[in-house]
Amino acid sequence: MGGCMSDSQDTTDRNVEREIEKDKKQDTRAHKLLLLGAGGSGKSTFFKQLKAIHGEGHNDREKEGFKRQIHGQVVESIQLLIRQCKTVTKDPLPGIKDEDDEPFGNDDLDDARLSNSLKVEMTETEIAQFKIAKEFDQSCQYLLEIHGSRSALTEQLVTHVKSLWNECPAIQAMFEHRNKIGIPDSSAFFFNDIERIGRSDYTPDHKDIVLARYRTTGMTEKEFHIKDAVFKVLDVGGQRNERKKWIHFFDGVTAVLFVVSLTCYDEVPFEDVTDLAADVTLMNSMLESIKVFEDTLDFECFQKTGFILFFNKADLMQEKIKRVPITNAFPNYKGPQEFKPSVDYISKYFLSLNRVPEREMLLRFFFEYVLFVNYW
Amino acid sequence: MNINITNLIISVLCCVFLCVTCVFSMIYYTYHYYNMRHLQPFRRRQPLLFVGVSIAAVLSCLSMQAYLLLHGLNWQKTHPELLHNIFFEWEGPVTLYLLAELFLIRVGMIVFEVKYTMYSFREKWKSYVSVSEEQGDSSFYIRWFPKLRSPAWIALYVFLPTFAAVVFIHTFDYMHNTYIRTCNLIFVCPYVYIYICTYVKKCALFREETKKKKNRGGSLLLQNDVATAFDGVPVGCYICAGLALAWTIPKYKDYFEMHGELVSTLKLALFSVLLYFLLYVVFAKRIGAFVRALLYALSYCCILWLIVMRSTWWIMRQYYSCIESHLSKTNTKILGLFVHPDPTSRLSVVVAVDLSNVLKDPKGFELFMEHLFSELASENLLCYLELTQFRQMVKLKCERNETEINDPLNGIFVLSAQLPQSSIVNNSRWSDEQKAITLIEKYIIVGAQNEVNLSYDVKMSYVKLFQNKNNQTNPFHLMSPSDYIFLFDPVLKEVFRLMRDSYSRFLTTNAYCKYVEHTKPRTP
Repeated sequence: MGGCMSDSQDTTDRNVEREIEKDKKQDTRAHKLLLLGAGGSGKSTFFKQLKAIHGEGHNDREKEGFKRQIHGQVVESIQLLIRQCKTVTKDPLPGIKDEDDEPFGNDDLDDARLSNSLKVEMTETEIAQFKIAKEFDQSCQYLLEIHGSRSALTEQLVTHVKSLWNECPAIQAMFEHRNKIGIPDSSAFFFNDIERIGRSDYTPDHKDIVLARYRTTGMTEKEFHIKDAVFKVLDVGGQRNERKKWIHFFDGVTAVLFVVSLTCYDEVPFEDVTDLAADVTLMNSMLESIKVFEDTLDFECFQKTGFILFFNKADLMQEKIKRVPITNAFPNYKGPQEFKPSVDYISKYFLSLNRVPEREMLLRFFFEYVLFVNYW
Repeated sequence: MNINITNLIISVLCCVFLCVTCVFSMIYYTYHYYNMRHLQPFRRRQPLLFVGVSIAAVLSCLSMQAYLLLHGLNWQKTHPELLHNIFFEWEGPVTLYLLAELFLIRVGMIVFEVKYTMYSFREKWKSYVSVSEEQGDSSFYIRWFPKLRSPAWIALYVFLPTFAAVVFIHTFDYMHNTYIRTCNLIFVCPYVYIYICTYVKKCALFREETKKKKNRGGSLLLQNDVATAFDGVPVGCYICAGLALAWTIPKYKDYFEMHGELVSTLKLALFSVLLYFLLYVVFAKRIGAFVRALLYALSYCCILWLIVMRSTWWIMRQYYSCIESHLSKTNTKILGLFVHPDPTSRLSVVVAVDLSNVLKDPKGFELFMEHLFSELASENLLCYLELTQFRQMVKLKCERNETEINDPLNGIFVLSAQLPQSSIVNNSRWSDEQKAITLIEKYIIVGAQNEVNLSYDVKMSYVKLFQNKNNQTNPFHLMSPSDYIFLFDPVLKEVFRLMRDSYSRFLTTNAYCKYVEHTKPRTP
């Protein structure tokens, strides 16, 4: 009787059955991992590295997207640097009539921001170092006129950025204050490599992709097959408005990967300033991170979920600890201003926040720009 | 009583065979269903219905066997035409009729479910922007969908009336089949008929052959052939309508196995026609009437079993992944399925790789919106939509007043007029200031309903504006009408930047590939 069924029918039927079986197995086998953390802690960076190492990497279309991101980052960073220099030195912006002349644009704000952070402690001579020399006026004007969304790097743009970055001391001086004006560290890398990035046949390599900085909005999901296990990793945005969305993913989570940036103890957070009167200097991203971590631990559905704490940017921390002590965020810290004891203190502090003793807590450190293999 | 031992034994064997195969397959498929139950959406109990259907099918098979057993002892003498009648005269038209109707309904349900998913998504995102949406054809889907999806509703309002009408017509025809009719009415719910003896009606083509041999009068209403032709007309209509509907299902994948089911039904029908031809035409003289009937009955049972079980399995599989979960599993965008070539599209000239170009096209805008919804980042595009409409509105007003505007971003923040219009921007009773404040309240201030992930700088400048709105030095009063054009430019830029990341993922979706394919010029 079976002769009336063709082979192809049977094979499709079998295929579908196999597919369903596979799905079912995968559903029970896949471990759902949630990447959480405050804004700018490096969740997406971690995600990108996972994708490059354990996933199938980034395809050409995605690379095209990252290329745009990187170009955008370069243009926006340099614009911000120029604008900050001009604001601090009260130098009028080049006489073009663009949206920056509008009275309620960024400038007001930069003023307000800098008055809190930079200006207060600065003397006239210190301000003078941010003065952009006259010969760069043309470059500045050209760069400020570019609209960020059309950020394909032209040859002209590359030359302007290059001359400003390499020859203008004011820009370099301003870049030292990047933690206060919200310029990502990796911009320096891109400025140094501007010629390579500006080439028309440029495709971002792994390092470029990992270094590209942008705020994540919404959620990205990706499955990784590592040895026999299947991990479904969810990357989310960490800013306050994004945190409202976290609740959608909490169902059936195997483990939470909580990412903390070690260097953020002197960085000004993007958020948590609900009105202008709040003192920005009292708040820093580390405190924000701690608050988010506490909130996450307190969620009903995470009471039995394992937590893996990732301390990110350890390499940058080693640099920073020489300049800034962690007492900014941890006033009770009495130890020496060195990398090892400081990090120990921070990790102990985070572990002490866990009030459920049977919960599994793991600690991991990783260096931002270093590939990590076989982490599991 | 003239008891034929051979007949008795064969009948019993038939029963045993049926019981074993049917029960075994029942267990097998029920086991499969049981395994999948945790994947079933919570309120969907339809698959249980189909398990019930297969149980009913087995019972009806058994009842036929019982009939054979009862009358088969001396059937050759007393009821020479009975077995034949069971398969051809009465059930044929009924099953054909119901099968066609079921085909139509199933296709209709699939089309409805697909369109419903699309329209409900559209309604959802439009409701975030505009309140006063006129009730168009989409509400039709929304209103009728739950009913059409419920099998109870279909059984009650579609199948039962049809069944009753067909039964009524045919009751007058063959009074001597009362027993089998009663049996079937007791055991068989309308659904069973659809799956039972699909192939039988195909044999109707060969009826004339048998017609010559016998002359059975007694049709009160119509002559046999006329009745069949009469039955055939609505059936043909049903099937045509079903095929036309099936044509509108997006052909991304024959997920619902409409094709497979049709082909296998056709194959079975051809097979049974062939069998019939061999038994009753080629070997008619060499094989005894009893063996003929027996072979036919056996093949009938086997085919019946196959059809019932396969269809049940298919339906289970369909419900295992309902359309929405299927779409999310394959990363398909529902709106992407309905992208059709549009020769007038403005994008036919520009290569649609840039985000700003995609957003200028209404279709691309909607596709991207769906993508953002799946990534829970919809507020960005909603914000972009409303702020851009605000910008366009103010700009238009200024142009009407012939105010000179120096717009450095001319032609970047432009959206199609076909998109839903924001109810905030188009509220004629509000001043520009009120509109701007409402927009800030909706998208920008901390804790807003659709708060966008803006950088601290940009956000604070608007928070400051918002907080000072009731002060004596209201910053809005210092602004000239044309300032409102540029009021939200920093936000627009920032939102645009935020969406770039999602856009790079959007580029990898099927929906985007299809979209680019369809907006490309057909003659380069």
